[in-house]
Amino acid sequence: MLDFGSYAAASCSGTSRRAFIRTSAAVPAMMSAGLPAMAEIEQARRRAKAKSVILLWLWGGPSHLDMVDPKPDAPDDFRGPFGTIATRTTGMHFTELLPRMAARSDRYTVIRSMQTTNGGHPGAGTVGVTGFEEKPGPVQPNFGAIVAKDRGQQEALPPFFYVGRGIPRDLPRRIEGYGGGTLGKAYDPFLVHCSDRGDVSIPTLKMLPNMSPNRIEDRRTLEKALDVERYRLDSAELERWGQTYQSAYGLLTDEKARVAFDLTRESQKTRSSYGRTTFGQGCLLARRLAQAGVPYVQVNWSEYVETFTPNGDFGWDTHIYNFELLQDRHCPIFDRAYSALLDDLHNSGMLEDTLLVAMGEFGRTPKISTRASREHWQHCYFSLWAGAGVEPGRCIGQSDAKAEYPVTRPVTPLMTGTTMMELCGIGAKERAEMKVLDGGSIIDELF
Amino acid sequence: MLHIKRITLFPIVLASTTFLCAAAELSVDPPTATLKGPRQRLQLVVHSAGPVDVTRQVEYAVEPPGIITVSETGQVTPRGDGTAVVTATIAESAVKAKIVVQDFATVPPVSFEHETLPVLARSGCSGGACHGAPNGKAGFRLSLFGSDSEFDRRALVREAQGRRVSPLNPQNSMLLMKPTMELPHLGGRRFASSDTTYVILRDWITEGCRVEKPAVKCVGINVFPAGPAVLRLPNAVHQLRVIARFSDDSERDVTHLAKFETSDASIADVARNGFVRGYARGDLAVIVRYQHHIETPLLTFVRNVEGFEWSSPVVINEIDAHVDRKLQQMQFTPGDICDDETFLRRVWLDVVGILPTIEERQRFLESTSETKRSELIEDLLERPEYARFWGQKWGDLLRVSRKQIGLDSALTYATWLQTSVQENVPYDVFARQILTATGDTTQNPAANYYRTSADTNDAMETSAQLFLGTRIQCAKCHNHPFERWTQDNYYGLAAVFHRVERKPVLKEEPENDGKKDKKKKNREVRAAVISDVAAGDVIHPSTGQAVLPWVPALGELAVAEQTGRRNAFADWLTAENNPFFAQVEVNRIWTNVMGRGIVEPFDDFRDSNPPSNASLLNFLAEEFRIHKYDRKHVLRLILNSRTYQTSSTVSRFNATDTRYFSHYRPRRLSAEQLVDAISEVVGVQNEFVGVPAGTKATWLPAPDLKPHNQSQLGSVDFLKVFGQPERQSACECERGDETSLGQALELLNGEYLNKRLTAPENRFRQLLQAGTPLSNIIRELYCAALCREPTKKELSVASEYANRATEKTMALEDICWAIVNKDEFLFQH
Repeated sequence: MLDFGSYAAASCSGTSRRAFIRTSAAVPAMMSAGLPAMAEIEQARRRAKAKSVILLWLWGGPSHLDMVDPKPDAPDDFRGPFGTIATRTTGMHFTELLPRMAARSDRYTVIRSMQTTNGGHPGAGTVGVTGFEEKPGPVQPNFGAIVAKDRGQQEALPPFFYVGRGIPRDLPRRIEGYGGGTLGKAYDPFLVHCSDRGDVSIPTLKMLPNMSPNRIEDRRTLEKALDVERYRLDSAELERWGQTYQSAYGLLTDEKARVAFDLTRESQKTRSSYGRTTFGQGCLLARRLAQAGVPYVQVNWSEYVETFTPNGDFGWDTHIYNFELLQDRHCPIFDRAYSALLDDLHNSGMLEDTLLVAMGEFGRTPKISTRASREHWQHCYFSLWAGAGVEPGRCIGQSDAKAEYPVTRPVTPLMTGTTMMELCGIGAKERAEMKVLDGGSIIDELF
Repeated sequence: MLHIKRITLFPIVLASTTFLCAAAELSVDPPTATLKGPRQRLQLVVHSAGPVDVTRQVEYAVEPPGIITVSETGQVTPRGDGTAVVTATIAESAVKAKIVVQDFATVPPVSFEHETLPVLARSGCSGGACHGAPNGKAGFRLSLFGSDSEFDRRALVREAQGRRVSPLNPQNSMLLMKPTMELPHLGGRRFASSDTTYVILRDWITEGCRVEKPAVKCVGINVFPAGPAVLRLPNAVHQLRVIARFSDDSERDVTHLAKFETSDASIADVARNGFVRGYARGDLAVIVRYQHHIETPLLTFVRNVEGFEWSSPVVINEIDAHVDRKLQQMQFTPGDICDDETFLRRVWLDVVGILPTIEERQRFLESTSETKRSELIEDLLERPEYARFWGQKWGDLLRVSRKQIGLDSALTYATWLQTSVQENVPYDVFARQILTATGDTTQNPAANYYRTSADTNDAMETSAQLFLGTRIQCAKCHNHPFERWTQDNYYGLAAVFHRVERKPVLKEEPENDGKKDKKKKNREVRAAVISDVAAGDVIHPSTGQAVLPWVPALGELAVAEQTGRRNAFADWLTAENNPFFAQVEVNRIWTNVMGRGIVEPFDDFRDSNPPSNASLLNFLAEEFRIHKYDRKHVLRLILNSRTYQTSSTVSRFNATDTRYFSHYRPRRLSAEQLVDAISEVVGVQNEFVGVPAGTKATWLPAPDLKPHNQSQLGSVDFLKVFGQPERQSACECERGDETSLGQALELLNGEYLNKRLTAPENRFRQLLQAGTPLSNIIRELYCAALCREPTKKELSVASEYANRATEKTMALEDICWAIVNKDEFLFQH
């Protein structure tokens, strides 16, 4: 009898239906237990184009209607005050707030039929970056943690970065899906903050006043000299610690690592093209990190979803002044930074093997609220995809006349993550072995 | 009803020969059997002397032909009425089994509950990763492992416009075409059309998908060979045979319908037909499931290690005898006893959480007493630091935090826990105080237990995890996937904790300018009054009925009206014959000092997660009971054992052992231990906010008393980075032992350590000022940090470094930094 053993789990978690149809059409006679695996590996190999992923995390829930999915024919209390403009993609219009992006729509693809399961920020945030709800738990790993585990620590730089002020949160709490989840704390993101002036701060990487790289090296040499008659202990935990310590030391002293954080090495022109904003400079930093070989960088628009409340750092959660904020602040910043990053990746050829995704945790209510703004809306929102083999210049999915619900197949965060992983070469088998993204399918329309 | 199975102490040794002896005496199980109807199957198990499983090595011959056939794997299939004799032969020996086939012509319909659903479970279809998932897969959902037959009937027969089954054309049913991959199937190929599973499903569809309730119920299963078995590698194979017992006293072989899994795939795997093959030394449980019945036979795999010789090691107390028995069986050699300095550092860190001072070290090393290690253990157990450190461990488990219960309550609760450890309150009394706590939490801090677990389910889940070592959460929504816990059990146990009332006590209103805050919810909850109420029932979500209190092993819990449900539960829990209570706590104590549980994870007791040394666990539990649940007694016993005092260096004969305690397992200091240790070496006290000066990190009553003092402790929270738990869940797993870059960076270049190295009043600056020679300062740093003198080489390297430097203090900062960054410092060993 055939024994599937643990391998069965691998095929449980999803090879795309299409792949099976393709293969079964081609070689019906070869129907055997080994085949799904073959098809999966083949498919992963074909798709594994992304050396790095950059996720622009638009925290707080950007309004889809006022940005990439305008509904000029919807009733007054839905459509909002903004006019629409044509894009380079036939038949696709944006609002007038995103002129730069409209002029470049042949380089990326828009999904207008995103849908998530949770209507609160931390909950939806976790779904957005892990594919799963926080409850009942255990909390699943962030997509970046999966990539980090798969690629491992390469040279000095950690494999998974958060660029931004802190772990995304709202006033009461931070999201639970920010890091390693079931894969462990070891795969938590490495936090770097980048100011609007381009100063990059990592507390423990900053030289302390009484320290210098030379002195750290002296200390390390001394420690090694003292370690000649090292206490020989044999333990897996010790070994793990040794590796981590070594990487940390590399990060602290390695020239290449330090250079990756140094935005002053970019021309003033480049730096200005991203916009002299925290998010703009963060996008530039993400590009430098990807260039240095970091496989996953998540750029967080803000730490808090809130805009004005204490600690708020202008997230996309525009319960008040939605239209004012989008017009005067959020959209100009985003339009400029996204376009600059896209141009930069394109011109340097990096777009070939860099996947650039932009999305928030949900959209905003199509019906304008009594405060003349928009509230949370998890039933329909958008994401943007570019690079690493994603076919550009298209609009995938469609929402209804008021942008309330998708009328085509909804695309979920789980599918987003699965597709990202597939592009990174983390196929169904690897995912099953890590016990992640169970049941996720691929957004086939992107290819 | 939950059956509690304890581990038998006398395993049958199934294989003591490594090769098959030609003259081996064969035995077959069953020697005689009757098969009724064409669909029944029978698994034969053939053993040669030893006994060694030879089910797949023997040749089967059947006489007369036409009645049965026997496959190479020993499966018997009926072919016609009559009596046949199977002869199994290997080399010169043979054994016979008599098989009677009756009623071959009468074809009973396939039973939905007894056959259809079990084969779907067996093929993985209704497993938690596939259609048994809460949302099913690809629009098709089954109940987990077929636990809800009515639900599954609808899903199979009615849903999807009835396309899943096609009685008029059974082969074209989706139920058959998908798993055989005739149609694309995301789950891959589950079985072939020649498999029994296929035949059963096809026949069931052909017969019109009959779903009548069967007249008889399955009441349990037996797995043969019975009892724990020891198998010798490399040829460790083991065929299992499963017999189901029915309510009409009939029995039937269901090996071909049951589902098999092993608890540890790195040791052995099990094929779908119950054939186990071992790969590595170790113990495991095979989880055998038929319908909702589960049995978990235990298997131990041993190997002859070349050059291994057992030379009787030192035995200090009975713990060592139990450990040695296992080590000898698994062929691992125990390490030597560690030296005095290593022991000193280890036992201090384990019992009181801090490093010994240089004077303490001196005193211990100079003592010439023969029993100085025991004396030191006694001394440490009597110190207040012991109570503070172990009280903090309980604080972790009971979620003592400001966020959960407010500042005042967190402090009183923590103090209560500390006092309880200090006075060595018997563990049964302690458990009862917590579980049955009533009254105002300011008067009775134990009642805070019902504030941190704020509702019925939380209180039940927390209690099950703490006192029964059981993670019952899975059973809330469905029967537990690999345990006997059913959904009924979950709600039955929840009923115990349902009639508890929590009345919040709000903070006194400050009378500012005569105005009172009208919004009650804005006022902070100061405390709560916990009481029992007479009414209120847990409602079972599927039946809608009120559920009566239920406890494992006993069933329905009898409750005396006056004392209430919680008291009845506490009576049952702390009763002498309760199988869980003592084991869970001794395992927790063991884990705290040994770094790994006898059952691991330490709070995950289940039959499918066997202890690595059952007799050791039983011994400790018994000892705990006999000594009236004296926690100190157990701790003392462990600390005095050779097993605890074994060196952490490994030899060729125990390097690969991770679970039998052949050597001490090095582990990194916890966040709090590390902070205290650094403070001790550098000689600068930590100043935590919200606690009296001089409070050590290992005594902190809660992790979130006040925001930490950044100017004193650095802008990064050192404790958090190193895994101090937030105390938001009852699971010890919240305390991370994972390594992260942030931790390494903190040590390499962190503000916290740097502030201490540069502090003007620190140890080496003071010594330098007093004119102490450099080599003596270096010696002192080594003794304080590592409990040992530097070696000659170390001393000369460090002295030279300091002598060469123009700025001596800076050189000493570097040396101290280097010592604190050593594995030997960061790890307990």
